[in-house]
Amino acid sequence: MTRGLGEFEQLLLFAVLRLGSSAYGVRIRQEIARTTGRDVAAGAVYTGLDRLQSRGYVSSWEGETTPSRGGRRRRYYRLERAGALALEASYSNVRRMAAGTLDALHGVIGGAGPGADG
Amino acid sequence: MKRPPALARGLLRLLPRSHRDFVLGDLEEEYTDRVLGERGDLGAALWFWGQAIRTLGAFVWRRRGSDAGFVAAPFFRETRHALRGLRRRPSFTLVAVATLALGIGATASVFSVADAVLFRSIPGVTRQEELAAVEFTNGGSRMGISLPNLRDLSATPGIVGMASYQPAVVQAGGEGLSARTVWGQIVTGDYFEVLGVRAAMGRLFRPTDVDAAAGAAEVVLSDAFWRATLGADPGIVGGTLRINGTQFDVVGVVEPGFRGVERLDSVDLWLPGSQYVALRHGEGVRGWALDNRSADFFQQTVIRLAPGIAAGEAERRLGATMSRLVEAYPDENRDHATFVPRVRADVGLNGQDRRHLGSTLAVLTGLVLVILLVTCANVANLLVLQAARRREETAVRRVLGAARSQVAFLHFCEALLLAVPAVVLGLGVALLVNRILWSAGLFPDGVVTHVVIDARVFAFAAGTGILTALTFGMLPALLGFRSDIHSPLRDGRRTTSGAATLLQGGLSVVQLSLSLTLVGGALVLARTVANLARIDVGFDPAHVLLFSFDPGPQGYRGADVGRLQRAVLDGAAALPGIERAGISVVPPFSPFLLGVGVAPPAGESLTLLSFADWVTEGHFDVLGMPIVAGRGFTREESMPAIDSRPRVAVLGHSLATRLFGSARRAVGRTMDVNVSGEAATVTVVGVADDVVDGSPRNDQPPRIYLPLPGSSQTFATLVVLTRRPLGQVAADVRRILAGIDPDVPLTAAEAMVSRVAGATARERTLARLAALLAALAILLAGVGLYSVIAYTTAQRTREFGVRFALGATGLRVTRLVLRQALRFGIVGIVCGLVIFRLGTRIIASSLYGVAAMDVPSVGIAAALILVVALAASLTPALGASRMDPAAVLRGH
Repeated sequence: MTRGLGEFEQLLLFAVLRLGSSAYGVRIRQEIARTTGRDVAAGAVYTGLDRLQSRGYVSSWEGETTPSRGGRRRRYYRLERAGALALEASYSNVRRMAAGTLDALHGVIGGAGPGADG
Repeated sequence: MKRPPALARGLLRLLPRSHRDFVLGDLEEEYTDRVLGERGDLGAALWFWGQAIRTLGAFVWRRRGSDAGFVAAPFFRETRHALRGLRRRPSFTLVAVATLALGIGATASVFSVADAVLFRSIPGVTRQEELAAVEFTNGGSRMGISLPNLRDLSATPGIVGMASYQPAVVQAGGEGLSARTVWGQIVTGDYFEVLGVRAAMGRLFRPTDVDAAAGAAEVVLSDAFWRATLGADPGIVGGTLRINGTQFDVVGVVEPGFRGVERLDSVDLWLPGSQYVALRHGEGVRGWALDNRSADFFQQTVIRLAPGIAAGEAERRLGATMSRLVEAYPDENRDHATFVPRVRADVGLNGQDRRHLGSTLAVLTGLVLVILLVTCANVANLLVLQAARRREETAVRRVLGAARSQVAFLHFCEALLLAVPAVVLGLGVALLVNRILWSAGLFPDGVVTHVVIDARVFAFAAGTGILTALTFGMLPALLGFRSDIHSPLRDGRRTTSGAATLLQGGLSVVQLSLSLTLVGGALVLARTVANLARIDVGFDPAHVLLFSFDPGPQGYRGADVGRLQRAVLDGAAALPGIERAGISVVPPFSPFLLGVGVAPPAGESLTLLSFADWVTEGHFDVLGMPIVAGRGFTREESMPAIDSRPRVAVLGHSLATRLFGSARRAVGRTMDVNVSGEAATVTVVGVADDVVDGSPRNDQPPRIYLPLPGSSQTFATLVVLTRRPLGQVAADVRRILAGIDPDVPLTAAEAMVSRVAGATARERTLARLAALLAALAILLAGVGLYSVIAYTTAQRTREFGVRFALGATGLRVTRLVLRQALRFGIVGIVCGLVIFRLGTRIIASSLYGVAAMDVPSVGIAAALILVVALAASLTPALGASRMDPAAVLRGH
């Protein structure tokens, strides 16, 4: 269980965290789309959540239904302690690595890089 | 509330049960609450489909290692499993796919023809389902109908509109258009209106203009003709075309795609019924007028039915109206008392074509169904063989908890996976088979140009593929049900019943015997073709070119025809590289013959029917026809004259012998002939050698040659002897014709050798088809026998192990397997000989110079069967000889 989290898995976990008690498929997808601008396929969300659940990072339970769902129940997700630890570990790795480099990063983006002369 | 597309929802039900409900619910919620509002109905449907497919994809391709705790739906797991299995056995996969592709391809090919002829909707026509075809029969034979009767019939309640048409081959020319023969249709005024065909440019016919007896000379063009022949001239509407010598105003171009209401039509232009007499220059239209009720003219009629009226009801009502018309106009409808309208729901194929093509299609359909069945049986055999080889693996899976249905499901998945590439490959096979069918001349050109391999054929092939997969996937699945778990793991004894083996063996024998029959048949037909090619036709077809032309449609009659023919002949004779030239009305191997009556020989009372040709000087020389006695015609005798009654004749050898005893005695004698009702006395000036015309099997009819000016026909063929290529000389002849009259087109240009070869087309078609089927049968029989031998060899593994242990050599075991194959081969040959003997009656009439039970042909076929039997068993035999007896006896 030492494998780190992929970027998409991090996004999934943060989305579940943000949504709190209303974290289910549709909202998770919308949250990722709203924040990152990426339209993620529903299938990828479910298989990703399956993967995370099999590692004990999230848990899920059946919830209520609404008329627009054709009578089908929602499945809600919650961030587990193991998931929170893994997310914290891999996010802080990125943060530590990023520390002090952001100015340089923006410099490159700003067009100061070699060969960018127009 | 609007719900997502049902089919996509059904697709999502393939998801694992643990996920099915909430995933479907999520997608439906998002669809209803958000996407419908944002993207509209169509956009939302597309969105849902996209999500459904991508979600399924995500579940299928999720990595194997990562699905712990996740029970994949059987579909995905078995598909993956089957895919891996097929990849591990490439030769099996290849053979199975190729075999299936042959079966599917042959079926798709025949479907593509049937679709073009029978099923496809007619482009350009509105609401085709309301249309029906009417044919009028009188005592069984098909009749035309007059316009007044047609108008009254169209007032029948339940009939919205009624239009008629009549095919007419006409000659068209004009500014920027060199004279040519085109496909025309003469129609009633409301033809386009009834069919619901619209104009792309200009307008279509106005009923009042067309049906008036003195209607305007107008023409409507098809889009294809306008583009291909007139170079898509944008100013064509308002221009004119000269058709059969009359100026016609081009009033419109129909919308693209419409080439006539029948699927096999390729109509270039439509002409109004009022112009019929002008187009024929009064020839053969005695008493014909548009308003004459007793004239039966329009051959094909189309009606549009009111909603709810079926073809049968329309037929009854039209029949009643027709009876009333006979009563109301007893004089005009004197000949129509027994007129019966027949209504057919499909307007796309006329009754004549239906009868002609129907039987060919029925035979082909039967044939491909047999091929498909044999294909299925063979692939089923292969799968059974594979299942037997994987018996242990299957048993292990069962022990580990796989349900029987799961194992059976694996076989289905495997069969489906084989079917997918086979369908794609099968379309290639269909293209190939179609090309062979065309070159075999089995279908008229009208069919050939209309057949396409498109999405419809693909859909059909895919359906066939799935159906066959289900069929042949069933057999191993059933065997899988029967096999018990423990015995294969314990000792590897045979687990299938003897009945199954017997069935497989029987199938192999049937295939081998059919192969022998087909190979034998192909060989005797090939010998027939070779024999026919060696026949002396009585003249030398080499370097003879034929050019046909007909000034009749341009209004030429009588001596004018003769003068034009003479001018063409003189022009052609002066061309460079032309060794000899002549003109003939019915050159040898023409598609038709013209008869004349000849006075009976002494002692007989009946007029002798003889076949005549009207020729000029030079004709016998061009064809290299030996003059046995006397001479051919002189230039003077074949010059056009006012009085065209013949005075001299050349007889065919057999006619001369029949009439006068011998060729020598015939020369100088006089005889009476009767040409289309006119009697004449002619002097025999010469006797020509007999020609073999058409099939040499037929009795050759007696022949008589008369000087060209006496022909009452307006068509004729220029025959030249030259070493120059056909295309070059054709261009020259076209130029000569244009110099004399630019409106008279060259209607055909052909080499005599191809005409002679065409006479044996039927035999060559049969030989080629038989060869094709024989190759297919041999291939299938080989595959079938291979799987049977390999299967039984696998079953006998333990027996061979014991034999090895008891000191048998590899060679001996090889011989054991080969002997089994040989037994199959010999039984197959014996059965095949019986079938062949029974079948000889069918092909005997198609053979020439070879007995149906031709010993060399049958011998070669039998030898081939033995070779195939041995070749099919070689791999299993060698495999058996190389086995490790110790491993076998230990049970592995």
